[in-house]
Amino acid sequence: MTDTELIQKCQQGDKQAFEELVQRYYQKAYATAMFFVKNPDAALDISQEAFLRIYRNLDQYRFDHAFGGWLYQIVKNLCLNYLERKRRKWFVFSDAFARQNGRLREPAEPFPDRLEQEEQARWIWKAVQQLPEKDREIILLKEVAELSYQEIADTLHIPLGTVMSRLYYARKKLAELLKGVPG
Amino acid sequence: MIRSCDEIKILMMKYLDQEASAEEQEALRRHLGHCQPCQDEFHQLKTIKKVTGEMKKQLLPEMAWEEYWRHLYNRLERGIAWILISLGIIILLGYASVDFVRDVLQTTQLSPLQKVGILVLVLGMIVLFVSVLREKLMIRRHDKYREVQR
Repeated sequence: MTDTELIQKCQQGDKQAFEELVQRYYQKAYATAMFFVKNPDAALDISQEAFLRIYRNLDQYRFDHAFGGWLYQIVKNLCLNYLERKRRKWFVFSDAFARQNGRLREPAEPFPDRLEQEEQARWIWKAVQQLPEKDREIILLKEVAELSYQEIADTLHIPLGTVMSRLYYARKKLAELLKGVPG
Repeated sequence: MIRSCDEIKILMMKYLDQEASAEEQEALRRHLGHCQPCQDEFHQLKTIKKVTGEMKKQLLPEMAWEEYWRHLYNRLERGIAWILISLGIIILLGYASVDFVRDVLQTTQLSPLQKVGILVLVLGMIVLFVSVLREKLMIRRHDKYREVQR
């Protein structure tokens, strides 16, 4: 069954269709959230919240766009909200800390344990994080959200040719950053 | 058709992402057959494609589908339950307030000043409730990441 057929069934209140839709996308949603927030619990919560919002807003789904792109936007927005809240909390704390100690300290950014275990994965993870935002996003859309070129173009509102050229330059920059990574 | 190295770079992307047509794949093979710099670049990009393709697997935990769905379904059901509970409370509170005000106005055991005091208190509570509700709605409306539509 296609995504469109599933969504049409969901709109008619078919919970099984929604379950199938979630099953099809939950790993991508989680991986995308994980990419942004780098915290397994928060990523799990955000990915589930994204599906809840989708369920509540199913009537707003535009059938001329890919479901994967819609899901990506929701997950990304929730992640940005989460990071903003976290930044504000950190700001309040760090402000008090700085007053006490006379300086500010950067919060530690924990790597997921699984990545710690694998040197190559850590290299890639770090390298992708170092890319400029536009390059990072195009890699994320292609490799984590697994969207097609057309779906990426629709999601980012850019021409198809731009998707390919942006991917090319992002990968070239990654290649530079990953020099020496075990192949 | 002879293609420039710049055009070939785009074909490389399409090939690696499995979006190239048979004709484009053939054009790429032909070009790589006689262009060493493009061949080197293609192998480099192929490695990058491979390693970034594996990145997703590294981001995923050992996550059981049944557990994920159970959590999500519970949240879905509870969300609906909370909306119903809230609606019920608002209706009952509204009804009780109207009833209370009517009783206060009709009773002869209270002095006019006491009645005014009670009515002002009720009015204050209603204004406070509306104000908090309005603030919540305004925050929701101006939250730039609130919605999720394209």
